[in-house]
Amino acid sequence: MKRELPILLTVLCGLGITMAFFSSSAGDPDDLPLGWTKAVNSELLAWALVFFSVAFILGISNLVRISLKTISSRGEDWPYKAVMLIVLFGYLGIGLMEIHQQRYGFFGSTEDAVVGIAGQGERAMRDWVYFKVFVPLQATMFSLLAFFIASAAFRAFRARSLESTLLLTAGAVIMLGQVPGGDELTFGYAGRALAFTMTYINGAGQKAIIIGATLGVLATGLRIVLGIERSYLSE
Amino acid sequence: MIAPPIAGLLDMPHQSLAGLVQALSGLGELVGQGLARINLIAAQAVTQSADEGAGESMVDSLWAWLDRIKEGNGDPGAGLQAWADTEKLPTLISIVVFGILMFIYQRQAKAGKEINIRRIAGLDALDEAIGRATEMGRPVLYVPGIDEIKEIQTIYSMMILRHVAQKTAEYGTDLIVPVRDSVVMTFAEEAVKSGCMDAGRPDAFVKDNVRYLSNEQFAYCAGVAGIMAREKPAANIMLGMFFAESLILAETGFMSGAIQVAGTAKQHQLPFFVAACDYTIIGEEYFAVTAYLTKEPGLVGTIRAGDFTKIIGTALIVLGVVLATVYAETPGLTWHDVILRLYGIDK
Repeated sequence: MKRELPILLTVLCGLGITMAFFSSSAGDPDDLPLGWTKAVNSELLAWALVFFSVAFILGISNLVRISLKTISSRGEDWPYKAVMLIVLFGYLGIGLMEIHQQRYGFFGSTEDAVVGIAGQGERAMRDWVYFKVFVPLQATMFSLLAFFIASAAFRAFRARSLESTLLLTAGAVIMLGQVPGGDELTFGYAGRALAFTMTYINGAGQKAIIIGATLGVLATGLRIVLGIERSYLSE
Repeated sequence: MIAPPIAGLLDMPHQSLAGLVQALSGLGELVGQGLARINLIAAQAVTQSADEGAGESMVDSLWAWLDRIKEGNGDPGAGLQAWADTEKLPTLISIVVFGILMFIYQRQAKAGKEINIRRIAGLDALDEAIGRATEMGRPVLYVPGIDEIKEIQTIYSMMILRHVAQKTAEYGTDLIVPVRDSVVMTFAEEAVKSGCMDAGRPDAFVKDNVRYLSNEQFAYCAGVAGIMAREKPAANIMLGMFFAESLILAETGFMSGAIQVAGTAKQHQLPFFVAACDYTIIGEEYFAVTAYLTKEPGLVGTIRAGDFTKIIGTALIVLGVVLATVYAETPGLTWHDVILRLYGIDK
């Protein structure tokens, strides 16, 4: 029963959401024979949101447990774990404090003008931490991509075989077609080669991958919704 | 006399450029002649239709009948349009056809009919990677992508994770699974636990090795890169839905010296994995993993159904290309006129 019940629920929810997707949405749902499926669909999606929110607690508890274990055993790079926990709970504290001061109006807040602990605005402190600390760090990580593209391209574009030579040639043509002056230097041929390669060769290849992948998604989805695929469930 | 394209192909024993160009130009010539012939038939069809005067064709009657089914007697809430979104009917029909094919091939496979799946190097490499990690006494890192559990690629990744966990448990190797989403974390824990139980080694499940890192994309990416640098896994398996972090992960893994197997159906990230990983599972191959590894008849049957659907899809694409070409050259011609004339059927 521990295995059959989840499968039954999956099948029922899957079929319900599929019916809602294909049922008519022309007019008032109350007047339509399958209008109730839309209501069921919205209700299920609301439940899913609640599940996702509650699951955050599980994620944070996992993070805290593993970090505390590393800190207590003075494992490798334990100070970073300590910093992570301080930031995690510090940011949570700032958020709670700001929400609290909005409700009860200390730190100079009035009903007309909400003042955050770091200045004017409902979420001044949270925004400051987010935009001045988190966003630059995120951009730093993202900017690493430029260097990694260069190092990966250096390895991939070595002409060792016929395939890699073709890749190198295609890469050179694409680059020439996109860099300033490349098109002029080649009397317009690089631009035309770029357009042809991207539209027909690259476009056709991408569409082939998309068609194959979509059929794979469809097959997996059907197997799950119909209860044929069960390996994602535990024993 | 041998047709120009075939002669061109026969003349290229060394796959010379000249032979290829000759073959392509010959093929182009043949296609051009074919399209010209279709255009001619289509033009004749238009002229003949105009000469015969207006009259309802068989196809027109079929469309009128379909309209009556769709709209019923014209009252609101009547006809098929009250029950179903008629714009989505082609999708529904395609899914039903695919489902029927899946059912037929599953039955055939379960009845013992042998269905062959071609060798996929990336999938064979999974066991090789785990074996290498075992020999080196280092862990295996499994990254299930960064999307939520509602994404089908993530669900599929959990199925593969179970297989990988079974293998690592059999070999007695540590398996580290960093996750970005807390719901995925609970699924990953269950998948690893089930894999260990499949291997008959429930004690091999280490709860702390399924790690929630962060819900933020690049914070997660930094966390995984940190695990690669600190814990030096001998094998990195990256299967699931990836976005901009794919190359950062793959390059960090490459620099750490690990053998890397990656797979996704996200076509924009595939070039990065191809460039930076030892083996890449591309697009539809990704959804064949469990069928390929387990050889379970029910799963293998769905792969054959997918292949058959692709044949139907390809035929429809070719037909569409021909019709679009004819339409472009002959304004005013309806597609059913073209089809009827091509098959020699008069109105």
